[in-house]
Amino acid sequence: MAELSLYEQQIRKKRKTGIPRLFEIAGAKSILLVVAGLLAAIAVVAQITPFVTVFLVVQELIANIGNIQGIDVAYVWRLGWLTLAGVGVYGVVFYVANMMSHVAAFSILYEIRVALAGKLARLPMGYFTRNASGRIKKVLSEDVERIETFVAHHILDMLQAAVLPIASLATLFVIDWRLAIGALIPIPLALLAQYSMLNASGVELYRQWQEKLAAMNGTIVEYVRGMPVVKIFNQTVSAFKRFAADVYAYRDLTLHWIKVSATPFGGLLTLLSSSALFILPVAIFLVRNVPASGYGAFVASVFLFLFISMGIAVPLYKLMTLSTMLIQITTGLTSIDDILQEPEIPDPPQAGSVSDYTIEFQDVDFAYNQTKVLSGVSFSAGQGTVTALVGPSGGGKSTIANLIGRFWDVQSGRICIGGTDIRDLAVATLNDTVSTVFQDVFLFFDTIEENIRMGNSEASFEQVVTAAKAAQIHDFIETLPEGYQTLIGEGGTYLSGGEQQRVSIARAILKDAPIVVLDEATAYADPENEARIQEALSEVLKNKTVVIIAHRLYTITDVDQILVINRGRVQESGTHRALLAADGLYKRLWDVHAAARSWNIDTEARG
Amino acid sequence: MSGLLRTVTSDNVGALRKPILFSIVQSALQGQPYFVILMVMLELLTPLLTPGAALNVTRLWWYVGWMAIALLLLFVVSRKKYAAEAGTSYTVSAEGRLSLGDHLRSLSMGFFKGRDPGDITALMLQDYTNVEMLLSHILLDAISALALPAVFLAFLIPYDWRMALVTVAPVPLALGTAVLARTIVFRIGKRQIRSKNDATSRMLEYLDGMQNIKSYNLQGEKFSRLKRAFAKLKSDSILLEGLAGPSIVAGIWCLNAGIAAIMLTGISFVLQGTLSIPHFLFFLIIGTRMYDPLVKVLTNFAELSYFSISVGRIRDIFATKSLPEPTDAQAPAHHDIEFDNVSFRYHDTDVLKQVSFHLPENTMTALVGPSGSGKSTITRLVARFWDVNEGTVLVGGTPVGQMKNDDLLAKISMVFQDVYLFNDSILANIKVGKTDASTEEVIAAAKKARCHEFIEAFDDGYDTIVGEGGATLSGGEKQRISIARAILKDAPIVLLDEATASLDPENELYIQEAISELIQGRTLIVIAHRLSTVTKADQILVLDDGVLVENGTHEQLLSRDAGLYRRMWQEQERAHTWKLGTNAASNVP
Repeated sequence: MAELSLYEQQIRKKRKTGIPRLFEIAGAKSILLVVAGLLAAIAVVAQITPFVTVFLVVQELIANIGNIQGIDVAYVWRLGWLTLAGVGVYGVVFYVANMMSHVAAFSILYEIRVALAGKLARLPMGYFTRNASGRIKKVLSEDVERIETFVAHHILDMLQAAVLPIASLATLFVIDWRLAIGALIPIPLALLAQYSMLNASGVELYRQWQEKLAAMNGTIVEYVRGMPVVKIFNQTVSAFKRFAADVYAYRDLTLHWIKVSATPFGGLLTLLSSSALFILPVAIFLVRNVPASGYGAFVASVFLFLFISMGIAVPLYKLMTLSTMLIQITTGLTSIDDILQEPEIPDPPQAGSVSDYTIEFQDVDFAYNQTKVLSGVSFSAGQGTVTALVGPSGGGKSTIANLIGRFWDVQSGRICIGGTDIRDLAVATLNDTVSTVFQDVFLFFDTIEENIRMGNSEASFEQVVTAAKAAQIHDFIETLPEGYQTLIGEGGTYLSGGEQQRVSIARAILKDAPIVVLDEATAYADPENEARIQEALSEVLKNKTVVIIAHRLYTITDVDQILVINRGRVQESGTHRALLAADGLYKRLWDVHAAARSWNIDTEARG
Repeated sequence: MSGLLRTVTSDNVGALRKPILFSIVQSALQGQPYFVILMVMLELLTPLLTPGAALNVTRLWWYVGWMAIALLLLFVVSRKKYAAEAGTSYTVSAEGRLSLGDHLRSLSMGFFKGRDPGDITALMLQDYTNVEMLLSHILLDAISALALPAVFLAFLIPYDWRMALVTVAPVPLALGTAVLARTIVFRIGKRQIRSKNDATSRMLEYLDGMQNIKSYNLQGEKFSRLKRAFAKLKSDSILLEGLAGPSIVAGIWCLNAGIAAIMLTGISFVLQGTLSIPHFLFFLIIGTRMYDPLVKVLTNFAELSYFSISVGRIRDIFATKSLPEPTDAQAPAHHDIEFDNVSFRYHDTDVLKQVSFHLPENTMTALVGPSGSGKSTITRLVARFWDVNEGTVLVGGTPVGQMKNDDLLAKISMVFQDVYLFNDSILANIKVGKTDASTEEVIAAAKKARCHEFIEAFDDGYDTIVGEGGATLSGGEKQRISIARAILKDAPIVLLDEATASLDPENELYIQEAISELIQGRTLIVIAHRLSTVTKADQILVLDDGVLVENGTHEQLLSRDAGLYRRMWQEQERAHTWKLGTNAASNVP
C-alpha cells in the first residue's frame, strides 16, 4: 500500500498529547498556525488603536479645554484617519490570520482523515465489528470536527483573549502603576468566583446532571424506537408518563444546579464590569497630591484607565474556558491515535506461494477478547471438495469460516492453504485466493457494472455480463432504464435483498477465486428468489474448494465432509450418512430440522 | 423570527417576557458604571473648565457609592436573570420535548415505518439542546447587545441628538453586512454541506464496505475515491470561510469606524461651538465601549442560522398530521376483514391498485407474491398505518377510519421480523401485552411461546434485565418474547410475517411452535414467503405489483395451469430440493 504518511511516521516514534500533538499532526502546516498566531497578536495591537487615538484626542481636548481655538484640528483629523486605518488593518490582518488558521485546520482534518482511512485498509478484517465501526465513525466525525473548531477558532480566540488584556495592562502599568493595581483587583476575585463553581459539590452536581441527562437520552431513544410497540399494545399513556418523568427530572436538576451556581455566576458577571469601582478610589486618593500643573495630564490618564479597564476582564473570562476545551481536544486526539496504533496485518518478509487449494486447520486455538472461541480445531478440506460446518449458534462455525480469510490471526496452531501457512502469504495473494460471500451484502454507490467489476477490475464488459447471467441477475438488470449503467445504493435505484445478493454473487463469479467461503443463509435471505439465488450460488461453487456454514441440513446431505462444531471444537465429522449412523449431535439436529421443515401454519387446534 | 420563537417556545412566547425584561434591566445596570464615569469626568474637568473652582472630592465619593450600589443591583439582577433565562430555556425545551413526545404518540404507525428513528431521536435530543442554547445564550445575548446601545442612546440624545445619531449609525450598517454574510454563508454553505454529506457517505461506505474492499483488493481505488471526497470538502470549506469572512470583517470594521466618525464630527461641532468639550468627551468614551457586545453578536450570527435549522426540523415534525380520529366512533361487530376496491400510494408510487377481498372471522388467509408486490402493505392497512387513497378497509363491517385508533389496535396482534424490547425486565417486557396481567398469566404465556425454559435458565429468571432493543438476547429468543406478548394480549386478529419463523435457523422449531399456539382460533393474515407453510390456508391471495391476481385455496390455485401461484410453487419446490455436492453444478436443472 501507500508509503507511510509523515503523520504515521511520527506516531511511531513517541506519543505526544494535546497541543504538541496537534502541531505534530499539522506538520508543515504548523507554520501557518504560528504565522496566524503572530498576525492575531498584531491584530490585537491594531485593535487597540482606537483606544490610543481616543486617549490622544482626550488629552488634546483637555489641554485646550479653556481655549477651543487652541485645538489642533489637523492633529485630530490625523488621529481620526489613524483610527480608521487601525481598524482597517485590524480587519485585514484578522481576516488573513483567520483564513490561515482555517486553512491549517482543514488541512489537519484532511491529513487525519486520510491517515485514518489509509490505516483502516491495513487493519485485519476482524477489526471491523459493529462496535468498532461505531467508534471509528464517531472519531472520524465528532472528534475530527472538534479539532477543526479548536484549530480554526479557539487558538486565535485564545491568543487574542490573552494578548488583549496583557497588552492593555502593560500599557496601564507604563502610564501609572498605582491606578493599574486598582484595575487588577477584580481579576483574582473573578477567578475566585469561577473557582467556587468548581468545588466538590459543584463537581458532584455536574456528575448528577450528566446522569440525569443520560437517563433522559436513554428514555427518549426507547420512547421513539419503542413507539410502534407501545401503540400496538395501547400503552402510550404509561410510556408517555415515564418519558415525561425523565424529561422533568433532567430539567429540575438543571434548574437546581443553576440556582446553586447563580450567586457565583452573578458575582462573576458583576466583577467583570466593576473595575472602575476599584480605580476610582485610588484616583481620588492620588488626586490630592497631584500638582496643579500636572492635573490635566492626570485627569486624562484617569479617563484612559476607566474606559480601558472595562474591557480587560471579559477576554480573561474567555480564557477560563480553555481548560475544558483542552480536555476535549486531548481526548479526541487520543481516540484518533488509538486507532492509528492498532496492530496491522503484518505482511510476510518473503511471500510464499500456493501450490494447490487444500485448506488445512492444524490444532487451531482462537480467542476473541479473552473469550476462547476455538480450541484444538484440526481438519483438512481437500481441493475441489465441499465441507459443511454445522452446529448450534455460538459454537464457532462463523469464526472458522472467517479465519480462512484471515480476519484475525490464530493464537496457536496454523491454517494452511496448499501447505503454506496463510500468514506467509501476501495479504493481496490471500484475498485473490479466497472469496468470501457475505450474508450482509454491501453495494457501493456506483453503477451496477462497476459493482460487479469489483470482482476483477480488468474484466471486459462481456465478462461482466457473463457473470451477471450466471448469477441470474442479467435479466433483471436489462429491465432497468439504464441497464448496467444504473446507479445503485443511496440515492440511486433500490434493489431488493435478493437482487443485491445476486449482484454480490456475480462479483464473486467474476473474481473466480479457487476457494469459496460462504454462509448458506445467503440463499434464503429472500425466500421469493431462493431458487434463483441457489442457481447463482451453484455457479460460484463450481469446481472450487468450498467451506459452507450450513443451517438447513437437507441441503448438505451430499457434501464430501460435514464438521459438527460445538463449543469451539470439532465434535463430530464425516458424511451425512456416517453421522446419522453415529446417532450423536448431528442426528439430533437433523431430527429437529426435519420437524421444522414440515411445519404448516394452521389456525385450527392441533390434535 | 417570531415564527421561530413560537416554534421553540411551543406557542408560549410569553414565557420569554421575564428573561427579556431581566436582560434589559441588566443592560441598563451594566451601563451604570459608564454613566458614573461620565459624571466623574465632568467633576474632574470642573477645575479645568472654571479656573479657581476646587475639585469636589465628597461628590466623587458619592459617585463611588452610586457605582457600588449599581453594581450590587447588577449582582442581584444578574443572579435573577441567570436563573430566569435558564429556567425559561430549560422549561421551554422540556415542554417542547414533551409536546413533541405527545405529538409523536398521536402519529400513525405509518409515520414510524417511514422515518429513521435515529433521526427523530436526534431531534428530541440534539435539536432541543440547540434550542436551550439558542434561548439561554444566543438570543438573550443578542437582546442585551442591542439593549445596551439603546440605553446609551436614550441617555445621550438629551445631550446632543446629532452626535447620538452618529454614534448609533454604524449599528444598522453592521447588521446589513451581517445579513449579507448570512446570505453568502447560506448559498455557498449549501455547496459545502453537499460535499460534507458526500464525504460522510463515502466514509461510511468505505467503513461499512471494508470487508468487501479488502477481499476484492480494492483498497487503492476506494481509498482514492474517499481521498478525493475529503479533498473536495477541504477546498469547499476553505472557500466558504474565505467568502463569508470579509462581510463579517466589514461589519466589525463598520462598528469600529464609528469611533472615528464620532471623533471627526465631534471636533467640527466643537469648533462650530455647538458642542461642549465635556459632552464631546462623553460620546468619545462611550463610543469606544458601546460596540463590544455588538461585535460579539456579529461573530455569533452564523450560529443563529445553524440554530434555525434545528428549529425548522422541529417545526417539520409538528407539521406532520396524525390520522383523523372519528368524532362518533363505531365499534366493530365481528372480526371479518374486508378490502373494498382499495388503492394506496406511498411516496408517489402505486403500491396497491383496486384490491378487493373478504376474509371471514376465524379464517386463515395467506398473502403471497414476489417481493415488493404489496403483501406487507395489506397487513399494515388493516392496522391503519396509513389511510388509503381510494376504497375502504373494513374490520367487522366498520371502516377502520370510523374506529378509534386505539380500539382498532386493541383488536390486532402483529408478529413481524423486527422485535423491539425495552430496557427492562423480561417480565415487564412480556407484560407490555397486558399491563395488569398476573405473574402466573405471564408465565403461562411464556410457556406457550416456548420461552419459559430459556428465561428460567438466567440467574434472575423473569427479572433479568434485557438491554435496550433486547441486545442481550438472540434473535430467536426476542421473537419468542414478542410472541409471548401477543399471546398475553389475546387479540382476535393476528397479522403475521411468516419469515419470522425461519429468521433464526437454530430456533426455527421453537418459534414455529410458539406461533402455532398464538394463532389458534384467530382471524389470521399471514405474509407468506415459503408457500409450503401456508397450504392449509382457507384463502390464498396472490399479489403481483399491487394487483390481486389470483385468489383461492392451495389446491384451486395449483390447478390453474398458467397461474402465478403455480409458477411460484414449482420454483420453490425446486429450491427445496437444492443440494450442495462435490460437483455443485450438476444440481442446476
